[in-house]
Amino acid sequence: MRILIIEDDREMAAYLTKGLKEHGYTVDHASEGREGLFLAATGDFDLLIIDRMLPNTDGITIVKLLREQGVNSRVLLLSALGQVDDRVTGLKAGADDYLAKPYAFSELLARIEALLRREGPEEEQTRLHIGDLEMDLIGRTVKRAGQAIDLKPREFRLLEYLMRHADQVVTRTMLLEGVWDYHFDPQTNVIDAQISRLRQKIDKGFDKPLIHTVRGAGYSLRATD
Amino acid sequence: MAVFGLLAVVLLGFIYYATIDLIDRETNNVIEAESKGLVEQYSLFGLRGIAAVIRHRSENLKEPGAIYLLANENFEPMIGNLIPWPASAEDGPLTPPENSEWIHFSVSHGEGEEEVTRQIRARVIDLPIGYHLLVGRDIGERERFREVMRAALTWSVVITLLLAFLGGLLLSRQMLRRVDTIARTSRQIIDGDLTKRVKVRGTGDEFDRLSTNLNEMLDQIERLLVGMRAVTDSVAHDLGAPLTRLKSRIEMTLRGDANLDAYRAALQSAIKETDHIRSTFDALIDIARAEASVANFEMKPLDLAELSGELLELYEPVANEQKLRLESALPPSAPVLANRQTLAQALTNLLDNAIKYTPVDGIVRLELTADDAWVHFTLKDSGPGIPAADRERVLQRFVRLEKAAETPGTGLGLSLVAAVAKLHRATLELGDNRPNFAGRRKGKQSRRPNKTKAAREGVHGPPIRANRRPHGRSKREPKLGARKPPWTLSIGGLNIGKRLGTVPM
Repeated sequence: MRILIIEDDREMAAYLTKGLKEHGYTVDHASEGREGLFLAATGDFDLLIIDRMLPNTDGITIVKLLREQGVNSRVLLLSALGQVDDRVTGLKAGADDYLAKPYAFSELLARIEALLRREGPEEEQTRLHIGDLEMDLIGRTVKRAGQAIDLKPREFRLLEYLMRHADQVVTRTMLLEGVWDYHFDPQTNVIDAQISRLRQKIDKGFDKPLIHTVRGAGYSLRATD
Repeated sequence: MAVFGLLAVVLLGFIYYATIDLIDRETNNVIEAESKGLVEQYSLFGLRGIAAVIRHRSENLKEPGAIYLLANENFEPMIGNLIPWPASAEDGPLTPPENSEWIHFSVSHGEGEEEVTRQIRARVIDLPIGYHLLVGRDIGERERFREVMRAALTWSVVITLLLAFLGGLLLSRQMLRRVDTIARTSRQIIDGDLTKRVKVRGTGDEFDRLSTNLNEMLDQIERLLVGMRAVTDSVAHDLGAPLTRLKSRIEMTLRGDANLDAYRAALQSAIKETDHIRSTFDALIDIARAEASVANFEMKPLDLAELSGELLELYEPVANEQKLRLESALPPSAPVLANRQTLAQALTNLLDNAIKYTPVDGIVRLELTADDAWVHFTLKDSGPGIPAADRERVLQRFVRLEKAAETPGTGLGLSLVAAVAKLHRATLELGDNRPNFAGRRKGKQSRRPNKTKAAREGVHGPPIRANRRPHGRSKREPKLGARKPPWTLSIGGLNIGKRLGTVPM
């Protein structure tokens, strides 16, 4: 997987490059907008990590120009402006995700993973499977090992999100955004309590737990240990 | 002013001519009536008859200035009170011009100093036998009246114009003075004295309205500046402290002969510290933005009952884990105009607080009521509450009550709630449940705007008051009053409501 980082802060870029290389990605770096635009348009990158505030051309403009040129690499915008409307502007311009600075590296990794896993235009799935866990998206039913599990609508959406991101790390922020559409972090750790309640329904009484806690990052739904 | 003067002149001129014309016509009518009467006398009783009447009238004048004269074909006077027939400029007898029966002439009597000249207007009628009848009136009265009128009118025009001019001058000078005052005050403000305000006279005129608006604008600017200064100060102070702490911790670790584990522990605590700094920083920015202006936020119709249900559902497990009962009473719908993210953030702050400060086995209760005018969002808990004396204070930035010192927090939660309430033109009230409970508890009230009528009608729910959790059709849906707590929840809580319509509270 090839990633291009467009970021003017050298230290930040070096840190990102190092971290991402350690996780097996091929990383290129551009330190300003025009160079970044050129590289992004000519190189074949799977993901572009673009800082919103750049000298010469800003991140939003780069995303817009790239989309106009038909470049459809995934784009993750990084910004010190973390407010909702800034996020909306970024996503409207054609970015796939938006992460506010400062962020935990684990959060960035989880989001990169989620972005790269997202396959082109998604086919309408009607069923999701992870191990012996089955989800019927039309009938809104969930079964584990053939046994029906009763979920509240929001629990269903939480599990659906986890299943769609199976084998990936999903952070608490991603869950708050993806399942509740809340773009802020409550002080209380509401997500942990939600997950533990979901565990009660999904994993309790089964040998192999499906929901795993990833220390310092979040959660992961996977069938293997 | 010129227009006013012109109008005055035209109006007075009109009055003048109308009056003169009226008097003229009156004189003519009298003369015509009298001459007609005399002609009738002649046709009835002949020359003798008319002569008798003329004599009688001349000797017993009904009104001063009446003139009668009957003359023969050579204009030689025969009878009357005018002698001789008035002469024309060519020394012949004065006769009316063609197509007219009217002549004007003057008569003098008396000698020397006592000589008086009278202006006469008369009608001349030729009798069938060639005799001439002259009936006239002294129009000197009219002339004198005309003089008086003219003088009066001229003076009134002059005075009117003078007054208009003076008034205009006075008015414009006063206006200029007031503009000057405003300009001077603005100058002082520009020069740095932001406490200056434009004087309002209390007359409610345009200048007062302008001044009031200016003052309100200045108030708002001052508030923003003070707020900004507060942020700068608190950033310096409250971010400075943890940064110093962080730095010294790192330095101490480096100085000691630490092993890898010690480094790891130090770094982990450093990360924790930076997280704290970050959340403080984020909260400060959120508050500043919410306080800055509504323009930054998109306000949309939103069902507060639905949002409350969502939040209850989100917090229910965590409340449960902490052995707290999360109760609720929600109406079917409570439409408001709001920015979903900021409002949800403020409400989660309240829930966070309630959960953080309510002791185990306590109760947190969310109540929402909506009527035509108000939506009240009330959050009550059985926690220690905020002492009445501190309720104003806790809304300020970085204010944390002493007893909360051990609980983690930035001291910004309620400041954000206050800012968001203000952003939504809602009122925030901190109350107390105490009357019905031995301990102290806290509650916050705020009222928030109910939506426009259209939006309200769009989301009318069933009339029955029911608990509602839009996304959680849980089997153990709480029932209102299903279990009476050891205390009655009456006052307190965050109460959000607002009168319908556009009038801000």
